[in-house]
Amino acid sequence: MSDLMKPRLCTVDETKAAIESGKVLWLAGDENLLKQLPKGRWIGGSIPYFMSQEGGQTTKDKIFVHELDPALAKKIQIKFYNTGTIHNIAKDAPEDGFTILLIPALTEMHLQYAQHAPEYEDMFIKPIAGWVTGIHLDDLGKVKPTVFNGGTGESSTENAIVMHVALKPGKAAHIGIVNIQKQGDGDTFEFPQTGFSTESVLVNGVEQNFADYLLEHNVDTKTPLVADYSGAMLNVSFQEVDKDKKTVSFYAPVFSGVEYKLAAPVDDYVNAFTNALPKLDHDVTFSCNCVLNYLYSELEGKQTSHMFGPMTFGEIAYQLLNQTLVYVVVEDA
Amino acid sequence: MMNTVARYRVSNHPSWQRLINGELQIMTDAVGLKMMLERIRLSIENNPSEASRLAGAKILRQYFIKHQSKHRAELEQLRAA
Repeated sequence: MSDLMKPRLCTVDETKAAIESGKVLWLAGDENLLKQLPKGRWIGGSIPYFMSQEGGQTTKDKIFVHELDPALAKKIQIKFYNTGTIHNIAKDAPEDGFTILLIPALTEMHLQYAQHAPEYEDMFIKPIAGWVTGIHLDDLGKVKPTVFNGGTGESSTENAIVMHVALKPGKAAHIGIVNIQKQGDGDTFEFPQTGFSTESVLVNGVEQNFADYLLEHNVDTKTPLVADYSGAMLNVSFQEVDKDKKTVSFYAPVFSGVEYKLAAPVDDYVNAFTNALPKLDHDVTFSCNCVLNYLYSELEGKQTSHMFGPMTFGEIAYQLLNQTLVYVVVEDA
Repeated sequence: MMNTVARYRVSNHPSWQRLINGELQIMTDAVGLKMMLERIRLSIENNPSEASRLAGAKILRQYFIKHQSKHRAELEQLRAA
């Protein structure tokens, strides 16, 4: 009988026992908990928000554990990447496998990956999934988002931690996203520069100040911008509209040349999300969802079906996403 | 199936360019393929040269060769186009 752990919140002692038994783990939890863990075959990142089998939870007392099924993996490699090496992530990834990537939020690494990942060699050829690590929102400015290399026991508030997973023959990883946001039928926006903030925007081809536009149209900035990538709806969430500086900032970059629209309203996230979940023939190997979905849709205590994991400061399905659930399944090739 | 991909020569098979410019649209649930198509289109829009188009076709072909066992439906659409 397999002792594979179902994705769930664990105590520190349970997590220690799992590490010490040799399991390969992806962990999410408060920095002070992750610091207590022994060395082993794991990577981790800081966050106190989770979707568990008991529903949405905010806790600094437990660690969310995803275990890599040993029946699937041939080999793993854990390593840090810095801003000078992250462009190699896909090139370094195994030919037949996948990569889990954790990036601390609000760092140069976060900015660089967000803006340049689509240009990296072998990007989109090899599956890369992961998340942007964070902190409790009450701790903003007090502590930094962190990642951990369980292999060495080191942590970093600047570099990304990666686990490359080579799969056994006959297996292939597949990344999926669940985004309930759809483009609305309003104005079309294009941005002159790629970046996390902007002053100007082309609204249906006419340039104007974006902050002014949002204020004049009384736009609810909980509603993201949505771009249509050949049928894949990708969000960019609003961070702040600065009335005085007349700037708008985002949680992911807007890309020059891409057309965006405001999302159509979503009345009931839990229902819409549940209806959007795919029917899968395989167990979910890894998943994460966005803390903005958690906050805006008030998911604390609410259950969103069978996709469990951290609620994060950014989701990675190849490139950085916002307000989107990302999952990985391993199937027969 | 390998032959299906191999038939599309990088340098001149029109299906890749038709896929890139949106003239040929295929049904797929592969989010990586969708993202890659958009990035290739943007790249060509920013640099509309023959070299850029060929580079895009080369990346697409590489993708389909690597993922051909999971993309039989997409390859069939390419073949039928």
